[in-house]
Amino acid sequence: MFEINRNPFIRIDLKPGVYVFRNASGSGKTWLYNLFYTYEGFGDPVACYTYRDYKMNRDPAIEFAKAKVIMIDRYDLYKSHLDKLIASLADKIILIDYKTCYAAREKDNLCQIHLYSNGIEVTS
Amino acid sequence: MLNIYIQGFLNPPANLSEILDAEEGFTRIIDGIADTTVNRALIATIDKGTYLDSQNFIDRFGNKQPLAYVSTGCKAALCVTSLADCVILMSECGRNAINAILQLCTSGNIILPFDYSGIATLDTSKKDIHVGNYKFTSLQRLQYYLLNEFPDEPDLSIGGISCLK
Repeated sequence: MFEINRNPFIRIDLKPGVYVFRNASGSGKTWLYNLFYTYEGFGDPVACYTYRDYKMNRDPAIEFAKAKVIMIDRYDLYKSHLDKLIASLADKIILIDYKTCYAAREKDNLCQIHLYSNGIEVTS
Repeated sequence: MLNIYIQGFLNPPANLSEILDAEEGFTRIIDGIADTTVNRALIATIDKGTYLDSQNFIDRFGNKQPLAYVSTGCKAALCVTSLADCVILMSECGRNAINAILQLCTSGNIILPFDYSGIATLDTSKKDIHVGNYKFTSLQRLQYYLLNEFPDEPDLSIGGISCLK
């Protein structure tokens, strides 16, 4: 269990590993990414990466190494680009927004988002 | 009609501008989101929200939010209805968003990923969906074509499909 007690709160009820969100739009992935982005700036042990970072050739290795939970958003648009880095971070909880080739990362676990008015929870 | 193209197999015409990034595409809707039955239904179906005006919506918790805060899948759907001269790649859309577009959008242009895996719907209303040389009036027939026939020739003896030329 990983938790950030802010408003909105983030609660990640998962063990270390790689998790792919269930394939639905409007579940709250973008909001979770935005919270990660904000809280990473506050110094909380989370990190995130999205298509914009990819287009700007940002190397996330240092930020990912510091974090306990990592969210990789919109991976469909740069799929496989971070696969080696993801594989090297076995002690982290890694959450991936990845829809197109849903079965291509079949070794990964599935996770789902629960939205609340004051926070967000991710469970298996 | 709603035109469907298939990524890597059935390319859109050159006169349509391709939107590969739904978040970027949404920012091209400079006049805001029009108050239409379809746009209201897309926001309600995909994001469980309520359209308020061209710039705002009520989210699922009852809070007023800018429409820029709808999900990426919902933005892609709103691009379909708002950008008639563009074709929108659906790779970032979940199945629920793609299904909502197929059920609700009566016009627009989309590119489906080749591995799109189906339309689970009980919607039997008449549609006007074009895929290449074929017109589909039934979502069930469209699903059968995409899952079992494409890119081969479809069986025209099954209802819900007709040849355009």
